Amino acid sequence: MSLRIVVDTASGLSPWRQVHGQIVRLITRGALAAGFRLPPIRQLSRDLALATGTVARAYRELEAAGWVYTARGHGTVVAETAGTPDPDAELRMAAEEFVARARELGADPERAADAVLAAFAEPRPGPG
Amino acid sequence: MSFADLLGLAAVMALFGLLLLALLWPGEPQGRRLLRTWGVAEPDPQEISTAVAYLKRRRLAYPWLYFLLSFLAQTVLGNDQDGAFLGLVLLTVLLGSLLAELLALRPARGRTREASLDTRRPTDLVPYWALALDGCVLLGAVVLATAGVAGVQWARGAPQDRTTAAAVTLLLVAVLSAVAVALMVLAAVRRPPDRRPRVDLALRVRSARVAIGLHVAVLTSAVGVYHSGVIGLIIGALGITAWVWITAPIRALPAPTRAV
Repeated sequence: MSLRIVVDTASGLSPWRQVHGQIVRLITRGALAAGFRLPPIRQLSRDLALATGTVARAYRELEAAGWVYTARGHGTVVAETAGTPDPDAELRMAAEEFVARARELGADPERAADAVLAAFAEPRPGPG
Repeated sequence: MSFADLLGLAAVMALFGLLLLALLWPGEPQGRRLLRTWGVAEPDPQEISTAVAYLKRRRLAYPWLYFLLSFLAQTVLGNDQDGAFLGLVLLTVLLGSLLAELLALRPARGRTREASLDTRRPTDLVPYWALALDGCVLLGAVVLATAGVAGVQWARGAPQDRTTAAAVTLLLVAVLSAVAVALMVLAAVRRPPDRRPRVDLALRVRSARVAIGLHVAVLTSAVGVYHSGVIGLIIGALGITAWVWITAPIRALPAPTRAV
């Protein structure tokens, strides 16, 4: 299975947050197991055509939150204790992505909030 | 030989390059065959299209590379051109591939950019044994050339009156081709990813392995030309065999190394 992340440079959400958020989601879904070595900052920044500082910030934030650690000679590695998501942090990230998309569509805060409330009001899809 | 003669001969080689380009101009069957050779079973049309574009980039430079390299070879080697044609063909393919790899390093510019989280290293693309073989052949060529330059009798090649210039030429070919191949392998590792992971990895593996295989062939043919005679032929034949072995079809794409 190929593990890929996608950055939309015009989405309004800063690239480092997109990198950070997608890596956290991959970890919490079990796609990145403990011990998985993330690519070097230079490789990821080259591949995404981002500044190395942008990817470095994403890695720094991941390490500060305990998702990864940096070991000399091993690079940045997914931590053993990773996989315990903070619901508030996840909600905040989801909100940031939604706001970026809403801005792209020209929505003001009231319209965006109406859309959220309407989505909550819809019945949850059943299994199958 | 006059300058006009040099240009004329180079132009003939350029025409040869053009003919080769026409014969090797890739289409869908070549793209499909390339991907199947390098571990992509049943490629889809978009993957085949990517492979065809990859081949075109490498072959477009053939005519003018043949022109330039044959002009340089005529100028540098003069009448001492035993086996120069084979060397010219190999060097043209090598440099054409190098140019294409360097051009492929241009960063992604679109709004949406994708990247794989798998770490890429040269040893993910080329097996250790191929790298070791290439290293040994390079070392042998450098030792032989250096000894030839120093005037050591056994290193003077056959016939024994090989000039120092021939040894220097061998040394230059060894060093410059090593630099070119190192750049090609690094470029294969570093170039921005294609959105289709299978074809992305297959083409990186192909680029790196063809570079190493070509390097072994270039070095052994250069040593073969330097030494000439039966020994030179045997060395050259071994080099071509090694090239075929290194670039033999693979059954499946190499799995990425993910754990610490």
